[in-house]
Amino acid sequence: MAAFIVRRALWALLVIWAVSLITFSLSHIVPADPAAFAAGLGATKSQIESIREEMGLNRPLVVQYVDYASGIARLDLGDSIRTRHSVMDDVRKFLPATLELIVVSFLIYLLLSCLFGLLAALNPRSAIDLLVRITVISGSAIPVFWLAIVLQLVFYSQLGWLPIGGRIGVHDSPPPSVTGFYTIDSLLDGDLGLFKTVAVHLILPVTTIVLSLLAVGTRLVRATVLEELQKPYVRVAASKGLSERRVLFVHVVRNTLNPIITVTSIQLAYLFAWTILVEAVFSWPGIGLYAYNSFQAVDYNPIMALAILLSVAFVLINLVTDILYPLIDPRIKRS
Amino acid sequence: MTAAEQSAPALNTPAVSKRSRSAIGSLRKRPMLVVSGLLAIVLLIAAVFPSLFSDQPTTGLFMRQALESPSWHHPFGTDEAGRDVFSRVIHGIRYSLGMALAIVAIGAVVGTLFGAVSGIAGGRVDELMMRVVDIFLAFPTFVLAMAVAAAAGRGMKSVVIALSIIWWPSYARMIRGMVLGIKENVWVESARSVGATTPRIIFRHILPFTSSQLNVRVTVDIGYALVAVTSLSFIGLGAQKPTPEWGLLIADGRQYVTSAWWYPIFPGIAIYVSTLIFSLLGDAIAERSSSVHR
Repeated sequence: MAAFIVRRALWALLVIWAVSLITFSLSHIVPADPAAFAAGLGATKSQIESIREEMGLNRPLVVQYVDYASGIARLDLGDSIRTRHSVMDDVRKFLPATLELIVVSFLIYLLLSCLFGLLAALNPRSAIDLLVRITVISGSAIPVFWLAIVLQLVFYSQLGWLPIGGRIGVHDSPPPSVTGFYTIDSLLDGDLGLFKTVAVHLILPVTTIVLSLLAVGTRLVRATVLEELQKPYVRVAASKGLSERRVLFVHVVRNTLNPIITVTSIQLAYLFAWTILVEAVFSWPGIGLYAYNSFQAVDYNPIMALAILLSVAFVLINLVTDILYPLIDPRIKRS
Repeated sequence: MTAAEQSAPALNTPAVSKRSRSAIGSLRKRPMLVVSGLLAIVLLIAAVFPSLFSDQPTTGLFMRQALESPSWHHPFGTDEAGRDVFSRVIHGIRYSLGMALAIVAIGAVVGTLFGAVSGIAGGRVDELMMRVVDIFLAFPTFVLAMAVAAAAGRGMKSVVIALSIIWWPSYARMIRGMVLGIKENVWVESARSVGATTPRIIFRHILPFTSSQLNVRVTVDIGYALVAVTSLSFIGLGAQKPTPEWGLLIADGRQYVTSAWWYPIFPGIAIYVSTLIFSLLGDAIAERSSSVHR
């Protein structure tokens, strides 16, 4: 077990190193002349030269890379030209909003995909099974940013039920920061009115993310449960006289957890990309909107930094999943 | 040569009539394959000859008809410059679908070659090549694509480069897995024993057997690539104004979400329908090839 963890951890380090190589070549080699780019249009030759000196671009590439990599190791990811803050400060500022969006979406997604998947598996060829299969086919074909716009159009423009975007209304002030999650902070502050505002603002972005993930999750739960139900142990458990509910929730569900965790951790990768699109549409003031604004302003440092940070986060999540497997499913320990 | 040409029609006549009869039969037997296949062909024709489907101008200023709601004359309404949205969506096919096709083609070719070489080589080389693939599959690739597209500068070329870089590894892994199985067959052994070169073995004796699965994968992937391409264009990394690329159309139309719903909606429906067509076609091809093998 220890050897396994060490091996996975070394692999995670290797992946992060590869990511740093890629972002380094993207920021130092791919742009024809980073110095000329940083100097902007209409800069004179001597200006570009002094910027090159200042940025250390006339040193050998290896030296530049070592400098770059040690910066990453110290979590020094450079400054944003647009916000004039260090990228890490910006990330710290915008991270809670994104985390709140992701955590709420993910909890609802897990709950709903298990619910719909189970219902579809237990009632094959019923209306709900058909519905699940139709959403599965169409779900992956809908671009997530467009789905977000459609929801805005229906629930804001046409019906006027929900706000068009943002975390709170223009005239609301955020709750005193404890966790950074407005839902929790507003409750801690005892401000139920604000909690309601926060929850209402969460509905559309969360719905977008849940709908875009739901197809895959539901199909997976449905397929896994159907497969498990065929296995001998289910018949044994049933013939022992255990109730259907006990067989299902104690025996079957436990065995379906593993594939669900695998696929879910892969879906996190999509989630990172989709939060950028979803936050951009709903002006959700998180990391995604920060990235989107950086794209618009051609501000490279935050983009490269986010590519690294998201990769590290993803690799760490996978590492944790790998370690969790044997705890959830003892059969894996032997192999 | 001339003899062959003369005899060809005579030989072909019965074959053609047989084929046309089987086409009607296959429509009845596999409606999904025929319908989605035809729709895909229509899309490709519209990509090459958009003016066949719409004769309205896609550029220029027609301010007196700006943001008109859908009508007989403008089925998808008009945009902020009074241009016909239907016409712009039709002319956008070649950009959006074109990029998607390019990405899948590059990804499939590079991935197939990489996977085939890795599978044939075996041992240390295989191990090393697959580790490279694993690294690519081990982090959020779409975020990487955004970074690549940003660094390479805005434009459709950057989008194609960025997405091709993240697209090939999954093909490499799939093909390598299939090659490992196929290369154990007798005919590969016999080809090698009569002195066939490795490239010849790869191209003549191994890769043909991967084609049915590869076809399915490529077809379905065109739809996914389309969504990826339009996503990058939506955040401003891909096509630039006034190109009528679908992602860009939605980004422009988003500003009128409260006043002109048709502007962001129809390009999105175009993405959705196209993706659906290719994903249904892929399913239908998979179904057909699995029943043929049986």
